[in-house]
This record gives sequence, structure tokens and C-alpha cells, in this order.
Amino acid sequence: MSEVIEANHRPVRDVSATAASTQAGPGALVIDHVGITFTARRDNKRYRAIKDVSFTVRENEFCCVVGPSGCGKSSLLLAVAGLVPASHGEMSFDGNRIVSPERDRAVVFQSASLLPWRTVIANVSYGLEMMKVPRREARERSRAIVELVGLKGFEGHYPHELSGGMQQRVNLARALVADPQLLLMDEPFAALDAQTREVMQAELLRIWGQMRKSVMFVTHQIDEAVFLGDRVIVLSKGPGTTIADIVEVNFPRPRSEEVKRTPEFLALVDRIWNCIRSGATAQN
Amino acid sequence: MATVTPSKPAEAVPADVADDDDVAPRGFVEFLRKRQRVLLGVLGAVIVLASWQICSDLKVVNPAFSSSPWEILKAAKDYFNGGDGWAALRISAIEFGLGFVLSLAVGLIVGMAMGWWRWCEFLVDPLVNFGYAAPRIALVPLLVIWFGIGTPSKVAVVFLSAVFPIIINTMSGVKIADASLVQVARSFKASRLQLFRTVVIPGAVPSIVTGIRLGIGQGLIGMVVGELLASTAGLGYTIETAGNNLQSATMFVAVFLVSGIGVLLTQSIRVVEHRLDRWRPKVGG
Ligand SMILES: Nc1ncnc2c1ncn2[C@@H]1O[C@H](COP(=O)(O)OP(=O)(O)OP(=O)(O)O)[C@@H](O)[C@H]1O
Ligand SMILES: [Mg+2]
Repeated sequence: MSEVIEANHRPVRDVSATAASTQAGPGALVIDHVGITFTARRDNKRYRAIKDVSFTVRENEFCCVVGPSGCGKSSLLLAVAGLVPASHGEMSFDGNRIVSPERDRAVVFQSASLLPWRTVIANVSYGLEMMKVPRREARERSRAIVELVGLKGFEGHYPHELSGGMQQRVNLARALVADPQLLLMDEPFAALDAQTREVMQAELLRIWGQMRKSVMFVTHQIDEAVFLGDRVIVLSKGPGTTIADIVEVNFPRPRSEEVKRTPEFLALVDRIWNCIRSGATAQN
Repeated sequence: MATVTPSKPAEAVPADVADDDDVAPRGFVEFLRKRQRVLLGVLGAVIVLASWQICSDLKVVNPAFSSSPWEILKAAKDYFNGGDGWAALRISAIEFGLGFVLSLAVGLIVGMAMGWWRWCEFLVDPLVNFGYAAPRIALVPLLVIWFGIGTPSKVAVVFLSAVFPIIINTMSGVKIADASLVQVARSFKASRLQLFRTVVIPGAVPSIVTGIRLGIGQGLIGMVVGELLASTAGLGYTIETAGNNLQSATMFVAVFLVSGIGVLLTQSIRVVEHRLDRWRPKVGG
């Protein structure tokens, strides 16, 4: 492994996840030497998506994870969500081992994945419906969230009647409605055009400022990660991904677009770029 | 440093409403164009019926064999006034209705089970394929031996004819459930039942409707052929006896009745489908 600028591997290898998380504070997400493998149906061989990743997301922290395409970011995020099992290592959230999906974590999926036969409001209230929240209360809470994400007036629209940006707003609202403590976002803006993406980034920061949740935000766009995050975790190129770097981002909030043109911002982006590049050359 | 943290969301704006003048019909030509589907359909039928009547009147074909629309109308009047029209219709409706409802219940349940549990598919699939490929109509004599010549044997024929298309289409509809939507449901801790109800079934609706449509067609054929081969009443029985007695007009009455019922049922399915499919994007506006 080359150029580890600010290694953050705490010596917790032999400590139980619960102990590790008390150390990290309540409400923290602890990922401790996690690896993920898939068994391909085709040839029954095991493929490694994540080799060895460790980091912590503190309570109310906006933590970005960057890495080249195919390095296993989505797999890692799904594992944290409890949708995919880790093949080794430990993960815990708020002191509890992660073994299955729980309501304290919500996922904003890479493709909006809205239920096409449900209107905006019915998509947003989906999580509450699964929790068997009474219908009227569910509608009221969903309406408030729809308004928060700026879709007031579109409650009765079907997903195919919305633009890509609006679909991602619904995707975000659906995750927020059950008031999770940790938001897991998988490149939610990757499919949007550059302008819409900037608008959505600002919107996300506005909403996060109002709701204050821990966020794990996965992206392959370094400038997006630096703009949004309190910290950036850098994964190296796959297959068999290791953690390459952890960078603190100290721009004051609220942040504006102008931050992106400051020398400090560009230097940070450059530093992460170099880190990924050298990680890649070291592997090849 | 300027801040861009408005406390109000940047509202998304609705698309412009299209100016109605652009699409509003103007004049008689536009009136016709908007209804061209119905008008042309009626026109086609009228042309065929008129040529039939003319050929019959001019004795281009033998009217005793080919009948004519007018003869058929007269025969229909006799069939229902004093003839056994109503009785035949009632018997056939009962046979088809019972058989079809039975095939719907069994077809949906078996199809969903096969789509949902792989072991169930493996268990039942060979039987279903065999039953689907088999010439089920050829079983009618056997069914008559088992169930007698009356209604039960026709119910069985209708059931056997309709159930397989429904099973097969329901199964494939359930199997194609969108994996990413299943993942969404799982991320919200949906129970298996909730997952089935909110993701799998809505996704399977188009396929299920196709199965039902095919089942209606197959079931009607089964009903008629069953009655043709062995029966004492029903529309198929009318076709059989009228044909034997060279009453071609009466025969056509029964044939048209069967076709009419088929069209009616298929159309009502289409209405249901349309209601269930409001969420689907319309191709070409
Ligand atoms: N369900 C699965 N079964 C088998 N292999 C998988 C599965 N999911 C992911 N993989 C493999 O794991 C590797 C990492 O995939 P992943 O989607 O996590 O990458 P990513 O970093 O999110 O990429 P991208 O930036 O393109 O979204 C890939 O090689 C992929 O083929
Ligand atoms: Mg991904």
C-alpha cells in the first residue's frame, strides 16, 4: 500500500465490535476489517468485491467514500445496510452488530428504484407502510418530507412523469421518511446532468442541515465528495479493495459553490486523485 | 463567503401545460379522424355482412348452406322466442363460469407458488408443461366417462383448457420481479408477505392479465368443443344439432353468441387492465 497520508486504523482487530463502537461513541458506524465476496452463479467461484476496509462514521458526520468504478463501493454500502453479508470483519452501528436491515439505517439507491405503480406520496410513505404506521399519520409525515425535498404539488404524480432529478428527490424522501439515524447514499446524483447535480448537492446539504443525520455518501466523483463531506474515505481500485486514505475536510458550513474554486479545495481534490492513482499503479 | 443554504427548498417546477388549441379537433374531418377506430371497424363489418347478404340474395352461393345475415336474425328471434336459446345460453354460461372461476383460482395460486418458491417450480413444472402440451380436448370422452354427459364434464373441460395458460403466465410474471425493487423492500424490513403484496404482485399484473385473456379464449373453445362432442344442452349442442339438421342460420346464431361472449369478456379484461395500468408511461403520448 502506497502513500497512506492519514492512517486511521485503530488497533481494534481483537476487540469485539461492541467494544469498538463504545470507543467510537454512540451513534457511530464502525467498519472493522471488512471483506465482501460474491459467489458467481455462473461458475460457482468466489469473487472478491471488498478486501479489507476499516473506518468509522461518527454521529451526525457527513462521510464520503470515493473510489474508482467497480472497486466495491456499492457492495460495501449494501453490507452496511445489512442487505449483503460481509465475509469477514465486523460492522456495527450504534453499538449493535449489523446482521440485517434495520430501521435506524436507510438507503438512497444508486438508481432511483421507485415503485413505478405508486405515486410520489405513496412511494415516500412506503417505509412507514412497512412499519405499519397508521395510514393517516403516514400520509401526513410523507407530505411533510415531500415538501422538505421540494416536491410539493407532485404528490399525485407517477415516477415516469418526473425528471431524473425529481426521481432522486423522491428516492431521498423515501429514505428520510422513517427518520433513520444513518443515511446510506449510493451515488444518488451520478446519473444527473452537471447542473442538476449541483442543485441536488446544495439541496442535500440544506436538508442535512435541517435534519442532522449521519451520512455515508458513496461516489466516484472526488469534487463531490470534498464539497459535501466532513471526511473523505478513499478506496483503492478493485478487485480486492483496501482503504487508501482518510482525509479530513475542514471547509466551514454552510458551504457554497464558490468553495469549489478555492485553491484549498483544488489541492485536496488533487491529493485524493494522486492517492487513487498511486494506489492503482502499486497494484498493477 | 456567500451561503447557499436557503431554508426554503428549490421547488421543482411543473412542465408547461400543452396549449389545448394545438390538439383540439376542428371541423367534420377532425371529428371523423378522432373516431376512425370505431368507424372503420363498423365499416369493415358492414361491408362483410352486406356482401354476404347480396351473395345469398343473388344465389351466388347456396343460401341453404351459407344462410344470410337476415336469415340469421330471423333464426335468432325464433331461437330465443319459444326455442331453447335462453336455456342453452344459461347452461353454457354456467359451464364456462364455473370452469373458468375454478381455473382462475387454481391457476393464480399454483402460478404464484411456482414463481415464488423454486422447489415448487421444480416440482410442478414438468406436470404443467406436459398438461399444456397435451391435446386436452381429446380428453373429453374420458371426462364424460368420469363426470357424466351433463354440466360437470364441461366444467372440467373448461377448467383444463383455461388453467394452463393462467398458471404459466402468472408464474413468469412473479418470477420477473424487479431485483432492485425487491432490494428496496428488503431495506425497509418488509416481511415476505409485504414484499409479495407491494412489489411482486403489482409487477406481475401485466403477465397475469395476459394469462387470463388466453384462458378466456381457451376456456370458450373447450366449452364449445366439449358440448359438440358430448352433451344434451348448451350453445355447442345447438351448433351440433342445427348442423345435423341443415339449419345453418341457427348454427350461425350459436356461433355468433359464443364469439360475442368472447369479445365481451376480453373487452372487460381490457378495461380492468387499463385501470390497473394507469401508472405505465404511454408510448407516443
Ligand atoms: N450480486 C453480485 N454478485 C456477484 N458479483 C457482484 C455482485 N455485486 C457486485 N459484484 C461485483 O463486485 C465488484 C464491485 O461491485 P460494486 O457494484 O460494489 O462496485 P462500485 O464501486 O459500486 O462500482 P460503480 O462505481 O460502477 O457503481 C464488481 O466486480 C462486481 O462485478
Ligand atoms: Mg456502485
